[in-house]
Amino acid sequence: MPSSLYYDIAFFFNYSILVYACTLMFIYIILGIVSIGAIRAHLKKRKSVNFDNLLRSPLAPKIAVIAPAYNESATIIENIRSLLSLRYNDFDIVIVNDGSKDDSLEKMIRAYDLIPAKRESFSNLPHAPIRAIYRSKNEAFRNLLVVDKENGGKADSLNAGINNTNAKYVANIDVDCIIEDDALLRMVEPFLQEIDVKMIATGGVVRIANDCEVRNGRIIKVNLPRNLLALFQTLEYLRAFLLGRMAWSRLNGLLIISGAFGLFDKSILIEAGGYKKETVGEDMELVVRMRRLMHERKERYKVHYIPDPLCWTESPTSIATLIRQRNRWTRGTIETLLDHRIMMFNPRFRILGLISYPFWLFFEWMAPLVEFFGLLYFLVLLVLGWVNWHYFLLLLTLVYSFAFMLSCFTILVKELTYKEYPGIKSILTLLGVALLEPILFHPIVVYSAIKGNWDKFVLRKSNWGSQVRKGFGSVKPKEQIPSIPIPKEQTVEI
Amino acid sequence: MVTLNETWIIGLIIVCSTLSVLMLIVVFLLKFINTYQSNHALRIKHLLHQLLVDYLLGDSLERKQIIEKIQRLNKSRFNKKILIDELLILTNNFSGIYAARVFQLYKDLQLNELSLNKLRNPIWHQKLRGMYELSTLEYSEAFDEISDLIYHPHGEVRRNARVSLIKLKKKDALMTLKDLEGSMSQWTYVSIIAILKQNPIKLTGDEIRRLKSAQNPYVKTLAYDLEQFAYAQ
Repeated sequence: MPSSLYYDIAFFFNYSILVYACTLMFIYIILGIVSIGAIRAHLKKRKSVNFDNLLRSPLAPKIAVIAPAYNESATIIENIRSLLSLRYNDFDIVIVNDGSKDDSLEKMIRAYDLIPAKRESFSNLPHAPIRAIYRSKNEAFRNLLVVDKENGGKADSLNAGINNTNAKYVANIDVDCIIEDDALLRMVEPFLQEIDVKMIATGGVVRIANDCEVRNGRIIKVNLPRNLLALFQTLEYLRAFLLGRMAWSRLNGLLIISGAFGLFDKSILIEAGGYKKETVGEDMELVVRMRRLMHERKERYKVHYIPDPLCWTESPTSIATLIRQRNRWTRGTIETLLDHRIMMFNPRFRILGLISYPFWLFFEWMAPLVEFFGLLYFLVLLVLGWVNWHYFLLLLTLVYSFAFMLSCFTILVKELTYKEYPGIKSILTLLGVALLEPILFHPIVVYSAIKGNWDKFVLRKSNWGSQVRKGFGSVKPKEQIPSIPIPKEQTVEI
Repeated sequence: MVTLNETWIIGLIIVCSTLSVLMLIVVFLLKFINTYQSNHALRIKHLLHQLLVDYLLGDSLERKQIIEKIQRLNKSRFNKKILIDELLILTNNFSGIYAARVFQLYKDLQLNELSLNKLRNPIWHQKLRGMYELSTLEYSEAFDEISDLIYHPHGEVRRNARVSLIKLKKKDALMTLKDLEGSMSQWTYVSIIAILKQNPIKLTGDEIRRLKSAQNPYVKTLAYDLEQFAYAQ
């Protein structure tokens, strides 16, 4: 028979978990409502924006699109071609070959007539040694720059790319993402519209490109993925971007710009110290550091999110790859939270310290841990035979029905705003996914987060791990490319 | 026996489930409406494309007949909106006699009234849309109404008003800017230069000097840039 101690412990845990769950649900509802208002306002304004003026203008600020590449031989040529066809007046494409072991560099040299160019560094962010800089002798590719360096990781490569450009803004992307052709125009607009407040970074929505029709590096037709895991991630991305990030952007409390696609004020980025190599969450860590810098300078600033789908990426389709990815995200979150713990409840950092940081700590980071310890608590009660089944099933039903309601809300917001998945079938598919997600997908995410915490705090892991990518088109067998002799005398001045 | 705690949980479950069902009903209704509107818009656009091509290329008698045909299509607000969008595309892609014909069609069908109503609407994004339509189609009679908006409380309306004025009456609007108070965004600045580059004007030395003597530093800088981009006589 359970003693009174059991009732005290049970009371404490039951109410704690209930209060925690209800608080999280309440926050998600608030974020959802704020998001929908922000997206509707953006869409209404967007109808009257004429991007052609910026496209034609000689005063359009220069943007450098920086894309680190490591062993991307299968798709690098096509990826660069699609980047070169972006619609913008004045931009450079900077591909940073991060010590690839395959023939990525040789392929680029051959395809784009690259020859060694004079090195010119515009800033001093730390990075691994550069072997060579290449430019094209073909006028059609005059805005392509390839930086060949020793391997140092993504953050290291981005720093190298930033150092080698004189652009005012830098767009940091994953080389295998598909960027919409007017993405630069849309991303730079907030920088130019603000008068009283300095815009330091903008991010665009990232969508899942699995099973979309791709031609010449452009999405021709949007389809839902056929793989179940990718479907779960599609719904998750919709929820995160449409409901979460838009709301935080509206509140000016956004802590992260996706590493797949973000545009930054280069001078602020450099002053903040560039990307940090020691963390696996370099995208989030940079944004927090840039924001902190602006607070310390006591300057009004903004980090903005654009709800338009501007970037398409391939999501993991195997559980092992997904776990590795989410493990890394968790470790990145932990590292950022630890590095910037001074902001916690610190009024000097305003909304960042009083709301954003605590939210990320107590909910984004802690929620999987609460779930895990809740599960352990349940298992202990099960072994002891003390489970209040009635209460347990009610709580489980509440959590499940709330998760489903949130997914329905996401689908509703998608139908009210961006209707990129056509047909009734797509809605039925997403509904089916919403029903299965809490049972099949969510446990994988929680497991990955727990493992991430374990790897970070116990095993002290700090590397990226590998991700297997299939690419968007058919992958050709690896060709045997002979190494190309580069004439030493033939260089080009930048 | 159900405790108070459990009553709350049951209540929340009912609320979540009810909201889910309601949202799903709205989702399917929206899908149906969006699909219908999308198919309808495609049909109307297909019809309009042919009529507009015939209008632009036809003689005055043919144009009169086509106006009557378009008027029959133009009964609903939705169809009028589609037609205005098509006219905006044509205006952006054509100049000279064809642009003039597009403008004439805009007036003959009284679509300018629709745009003016949007301009006068108290909601800010409707004003933006009205300004965009009137300025792109160069309905210069709206100049005075739009110039009242350059000090509107909403920032987006103010910025768009300045750019719209330049589109409508380039030189006159530029001289109006001389007395501008407050700051100018880089977007407005870039847009003004782009509009003037597309529709070059000649400012006299005296006009450039007057702009350079403006109190507003943004207008001053604009004047120097205009001189540099060879807009001065």
